[in-house]
Amino acid sequence: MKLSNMKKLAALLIILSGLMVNPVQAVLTIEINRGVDVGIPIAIVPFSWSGAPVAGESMTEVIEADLTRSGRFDSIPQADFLQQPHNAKEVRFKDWRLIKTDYLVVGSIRQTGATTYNVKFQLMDVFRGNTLTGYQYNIQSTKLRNVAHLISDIIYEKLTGEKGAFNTKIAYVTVEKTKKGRRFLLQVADSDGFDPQTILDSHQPLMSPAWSPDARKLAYVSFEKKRSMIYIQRLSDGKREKVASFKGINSAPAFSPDGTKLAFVSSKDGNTEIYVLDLRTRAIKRLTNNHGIDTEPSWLPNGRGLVFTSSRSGQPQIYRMNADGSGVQRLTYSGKYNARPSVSADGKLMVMISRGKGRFHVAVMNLRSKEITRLTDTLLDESPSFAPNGRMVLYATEQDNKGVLAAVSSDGRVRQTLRFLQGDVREPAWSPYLR
Amino acid sequence: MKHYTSRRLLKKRHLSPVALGLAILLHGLLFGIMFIKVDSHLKPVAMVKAMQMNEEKPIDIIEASAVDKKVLEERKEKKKAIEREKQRKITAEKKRKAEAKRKEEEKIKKAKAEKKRKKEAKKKAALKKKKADKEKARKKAEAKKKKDAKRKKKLAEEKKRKAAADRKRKVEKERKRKEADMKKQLEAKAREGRARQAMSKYAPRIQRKVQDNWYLPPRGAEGCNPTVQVNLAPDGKVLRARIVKSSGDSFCDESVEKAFMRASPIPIPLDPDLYSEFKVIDFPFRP
Repeated sequence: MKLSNMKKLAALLIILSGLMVNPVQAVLTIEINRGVDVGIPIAIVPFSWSGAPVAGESMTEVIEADLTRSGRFDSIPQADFLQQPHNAKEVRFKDWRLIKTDYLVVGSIRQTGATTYNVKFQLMDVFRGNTLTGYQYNIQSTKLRNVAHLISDIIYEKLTGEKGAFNTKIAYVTVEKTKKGRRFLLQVADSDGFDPQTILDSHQPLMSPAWSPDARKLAYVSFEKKRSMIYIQRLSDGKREKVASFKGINSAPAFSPDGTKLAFVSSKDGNTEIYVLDLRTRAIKRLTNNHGIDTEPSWLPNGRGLVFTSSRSGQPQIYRMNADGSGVQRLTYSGKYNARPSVSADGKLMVMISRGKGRFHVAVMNLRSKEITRLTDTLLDESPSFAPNGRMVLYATEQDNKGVLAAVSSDGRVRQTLRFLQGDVREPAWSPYLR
Repeated sequence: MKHYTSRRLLKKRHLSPVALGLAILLHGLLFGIMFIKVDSHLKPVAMVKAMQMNEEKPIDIIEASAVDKKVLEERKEKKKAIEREKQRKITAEKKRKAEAKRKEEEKIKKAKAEKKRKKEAKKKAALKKKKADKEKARKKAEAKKKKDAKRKKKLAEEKKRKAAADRKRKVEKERKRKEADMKKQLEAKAREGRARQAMSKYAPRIQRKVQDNWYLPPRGAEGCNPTVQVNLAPDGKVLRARIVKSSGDSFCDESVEKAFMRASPIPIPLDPDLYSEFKVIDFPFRP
């Protein structure tokens, strides 16, 4: 790489020398062959506040944490700020150029009623000295965090060209140890793990929560009847229905992208195979028929096929097949263990758990080039799932003999555990965009 | 009037005839003298008139006198003498006149001759003058011709000299021009060498600084291949970074524009002589 750059430069210089014969017309040409892979420098000035204080983190802290967690931003420490503007008029751009930030966020929060607030913010381009975007919201005090995530999404989309996924939810299972034994909680929280809500509480294991594409329902596996069964539960009212309770194992539910089908795994026919349930007709179709274990189905974003884990080669590897079970292809060849696949919304990346040197960690495969990038180097990572924009991966890992959730950017640049979650957490699933 | 006076004298005083005669003679003489004297002053016509008056006098005298024979004789003699004198005088007058005429004629002849001579002389002089003039003219013409020739020759020489000088000057000028050209060329070559050296020295530095300040766009470096033209101030400050060939991805284009804002000032030589080489730089992005 370096050598080829040197060669390029040498070639360039030779071309330059040739051009110098007519120095009047020659324009010096310098080729740029690389850049630096760093976050977008952004400074977020604490919003001004007028009115009764509200407990909890400030909005600006939420925004800063969101942007930083995405791995695509480098927020400038407040200690470096030379001024504290709260609107575009107060901004002295040269002060911000001086501290080497590209963008600047300013805003204000003003109490307008007993529990209502007006929130304003502006995003500015420091080099160009202009305002890129700005909004204001009139909201209840309970929604301040949501608006902070919304602002993060707007900033993210404006500066990266991709939709932000901060104003989304995550589902996961928390295990509590009580005197009566273990207690399993199916919970839903904000994308940063804040404000967890319990969906289901059971003394029997709960597993594999899966979001419906409209983010209104969760499918999951419950052992409440002493054996695994699959339920679909509506979040708004907690109403649920059992959709798979066949003899043997019922596991790994996955909604099709159009929400009409549910892929799942069952051993009802003897071997562990993948089936598809038509949610309207309740018809079941078997997709795999193989002597090995076929499990962990995940839909391709176009709905025309699935990826899954199979031991048919003698060790767990990842395969793809068409929606009717035809056209099976093996996708992973490196390593002895590749499992739990999930494909990003743009269909370009596949995240999975790979084992290397005795560790299980999160890896990403570029489906076009088949290149695999390891994202984590923790010991026992599991259950990775993409954020709806495909730019972050949520997964579970172990810390101090306890399960924790962590997020990693799809390029592996930034990893962060979700600090709000208590207890032993596992089996996370990132929601689609909320509507 | 004199005639009247003498008669009165005769009557009243009774003078002697001799005295009277003498007086008359005296008178006559006086008259004569007077007339001659007058004559010398008067024109010839006036003289003749005076003489006629003298002739009347004796007649008057004869009638008036009643003297003796002697006296008459004497008077006769006297008259004869007067007559002779008169005759002599006339002759003398004639002779004198003739002489005068001759003299006059001679004078005229002489004058004529003189005139002729003078004319001749004049003619001769004229001729001579003419000849002299001609000669002079000829000489002048010749001199002029000579002078002209000389001038012409001088002019030609001057011209020739000038042409030679011009030629020399031209050659000199050409030589100087060539020399200047050569010097210019050498200078340009030297400058070119310096410029080339500066470029090979600075191009990698510039490249490094831009690369270090190019924060890859959201979708990564792949396909991010715009060309940016950058205008620099003499101190390397980025005056303008303009996308001349877009990558088609606005986030990519934005990332490279920002790279130059961040990389400003660009490390270029601070030699003002080389500024023109670094004033505008094209940056094709080929990650």
